[in-house]
Amino acid sequence: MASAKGSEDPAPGSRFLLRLGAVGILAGVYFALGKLGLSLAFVHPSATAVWPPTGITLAALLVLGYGVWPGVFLGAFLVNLTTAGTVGTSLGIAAGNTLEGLVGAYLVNRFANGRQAFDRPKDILKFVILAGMMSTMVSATLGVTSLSLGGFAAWTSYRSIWLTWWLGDLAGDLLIAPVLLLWSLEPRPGWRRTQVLEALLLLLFLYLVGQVVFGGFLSVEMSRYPLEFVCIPFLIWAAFRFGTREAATANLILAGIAIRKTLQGFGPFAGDHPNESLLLLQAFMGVTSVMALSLSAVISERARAQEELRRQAVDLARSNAELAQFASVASHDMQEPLRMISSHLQLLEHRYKGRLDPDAERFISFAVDGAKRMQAMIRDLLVYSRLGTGEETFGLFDCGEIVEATRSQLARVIGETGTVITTGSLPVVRGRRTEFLRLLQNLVDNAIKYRREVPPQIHIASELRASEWVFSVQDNGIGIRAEHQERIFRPFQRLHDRDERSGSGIGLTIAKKVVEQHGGRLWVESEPEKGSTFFFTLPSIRS
Amino acid sequence: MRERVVELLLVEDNAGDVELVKEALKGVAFRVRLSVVKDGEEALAYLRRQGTHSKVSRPHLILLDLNLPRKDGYEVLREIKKDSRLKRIPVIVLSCSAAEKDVLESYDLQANSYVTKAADFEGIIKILNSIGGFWLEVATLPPN
Repeated sequence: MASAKGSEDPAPGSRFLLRLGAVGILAGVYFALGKLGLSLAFVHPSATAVWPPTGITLAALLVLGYGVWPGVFLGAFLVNLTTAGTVGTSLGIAAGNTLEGLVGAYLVNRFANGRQAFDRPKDILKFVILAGMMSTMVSATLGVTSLSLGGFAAWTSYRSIWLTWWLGDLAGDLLIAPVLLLWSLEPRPGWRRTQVLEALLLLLFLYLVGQVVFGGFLSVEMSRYPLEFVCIPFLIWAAFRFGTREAATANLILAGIAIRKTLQGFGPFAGDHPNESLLLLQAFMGVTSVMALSLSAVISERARAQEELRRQAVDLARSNAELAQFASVASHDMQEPLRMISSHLQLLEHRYKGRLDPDAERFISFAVDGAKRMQAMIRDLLVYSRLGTGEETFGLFDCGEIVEATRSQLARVIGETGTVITTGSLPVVRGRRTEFLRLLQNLVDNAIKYRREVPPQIHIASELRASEWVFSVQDNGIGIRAEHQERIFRPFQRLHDRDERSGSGIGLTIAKKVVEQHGGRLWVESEPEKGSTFFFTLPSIRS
Repeated sequence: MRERVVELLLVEDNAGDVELVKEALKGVAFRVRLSVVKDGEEALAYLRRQGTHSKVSRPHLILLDLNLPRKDGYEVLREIKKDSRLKRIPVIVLSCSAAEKDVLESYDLQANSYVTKAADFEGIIKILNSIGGFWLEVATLPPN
C-alpha cells in the first residue's frame, strides 16, 4: 500500500520497524520481570509462584496482536537459558510460554470479548477460566515436561513443580493482565478534582493496610493473625468509587506489598515453606482480584443500562412531543379549509334558496354533510393521538365518582331516552382520570346509541380477579354479531348506516387505547337483539 | 333595535371568511357599515386615520382575527390597547382555535371578548346577531 503524503498510515517499512521495536521491548521487559520472578523460585530453579511475564504476555498479545509473539519466545528463551537448563529445555519452555500466551489470547478474543473482557461479569468469568486456568496449563505442562525430559527435574516431583508453575502463571494472568489491559484502554486517569484527592487517600490506605495486615506494622505477633480479609473493604472502595481499572490496580498494589512482606517473613501467610506461603498468597490475591473485577463490572454494567434507559426515555419524550405537535398542527390546519368548504356551501344554500333545482340542493347538502363528518373525524383523531402524551399523571380516583360525572355529562340524552344506569360497588384505581372518564363516556354513549325500542338499561360493575379489576358495562341494546366483534375496535369502522346511528366510529378505538395504556384489555361479549357487555381490566392498586 | 348605524371594522385576511361575514350581516337585526382590512398594519393605519384612511370614522366595534400575516392579531391587540385614543373601542377576537392558551393570551392582552368561529353559516349569523345584540342593546358603547 503506497502511503500518500500526510496520511496517517505508516509506510510498510516503518510498520515493520515499529513491530520490531515492540518485539524488542517486549522481550526486554519479559526478561527483566522473568528474572525477578525466578529469584523467588523455591521449589525448582525454573518454577516460581510469582510469574509476572504470563500476564504481560497475555496483555501484549491482546493489545498489540498475535504478531509480537517472537518477543515472548525470545524473552522466555533467554530467561531460562541464563537460569538453569540447556538450549533444548529452554526452547521447550519458551515454546510452552509462547503457546500459553497465544492460546490464552485466542480464547479471550474468541469467547470473552477480547480487550474488553472486563466490561461484563460473564466475560470476566470466561477470562478467568479460559486464560487464567486453561491456557496456563499449556505452559506448565510443556515447561515441566521439557525440564524432566532434559533431566533437570525429577519425574517424581512433577506434580509439585507443575502446581507451582501453573498457579504462578494463573496469578500472573489474574493480577497483572487486567491492570495492563484496562490502562491500555483508558490511559488517562480522567479523574475529577475531588476524585484525585480520594484516589490519593485510597493509595495511602492501601499502603497502610498492606503494612498492617502483611507487614507487622503494629506488632510482630499481630502480623500472624489471619487479618487478610481486612484488605477486602478497600478493594470494594476502589470498585464502587472508581472503576474496574482502579480496582485491578489496587489489588496489584496490595499483592506487591503482600509478596514483599511475606518473603520477609511477616504476615499471615508467612511460614516455614516460602513456596507454600507464596502459593497461598497468590491464591488469596487471585480470588480478591476476581471479586473486585466482577463487582466493578456489575456496577459499570448497571450504570450503562441506566444511561441507556435515560437516553431512551429522552428519545421517547421527544418523539411523543413531536408526534403530538404534528397531530395538533395538522388537524388545526386541516380544520380551516374544511370550515371554508362547509360554510361556503352553506352560503350557497342560503343565497340561492329556492332558486336551485332540488338535485342541486341535495348535492350541496351531501357535500356539506361530508365536510362536517370530516371535521368530526379530524377532531377524534386528534383526541386519539393525544392519549397518553398529555401532562396528566397517574393518580388515584374513585370509579364511582367517574360514573356520576358521566351521568351528568350525558344528562340530556339520558333524559331524552329514559336511560337507567345502575352500578355495583366500584373500586378506587390508579390511572389518568380524564382518560378514564372519556373511556366510560364512550362506552355508555354507545350503549345508549345502539339501543332497541325499549329504554336502555345499563349496568356498570366490577370484580376483583387475581391481581386485576374486571369492569363490565352491560346494556340491553341491539347487540353485535360475532363476526363483527373484532372490527368494531378499529378506527372509523361502523356497522350501521349514517342515517340510523350517528358517530364517527372512533369511540371504541379510543376506549381500547386508553385501557391498553393503563395496562389492561378490552373485549366484548354480545348476543344480537339481547344486548352487549363490554369488559375491560385494570391492574389493582396492590399489584 | 336602535336605528343608528354601527361602524364595524373587520380585520381578516381570509377572503372566504370576509364573504361569510358580509353575507351573514345581511341577516342581522341592526344596521351596519362594514369596513374590512386585510392585515394588522393596515388595521392600525385605519384606526389612526393614516395614509389612505385619513377620512374614515372611528369604528364602534372591532372584529379581530388572530391569524394575520405580518403583524399578527396579538400584536394588533396589544397596540390598540396601549394607544390611549384607541383602547376604548371594544375588540372582539375571532379565532378558529379554541385552545386555552390562545383564550388566556387574548384576555391577558385585554380583549373585550373571545369568539370561536363557527363551522357553519347559520352559526356565523347567530354569532353576529349576538354580538350586535349585546353591544347595541345590552351594553353601552363608549361615546365617540
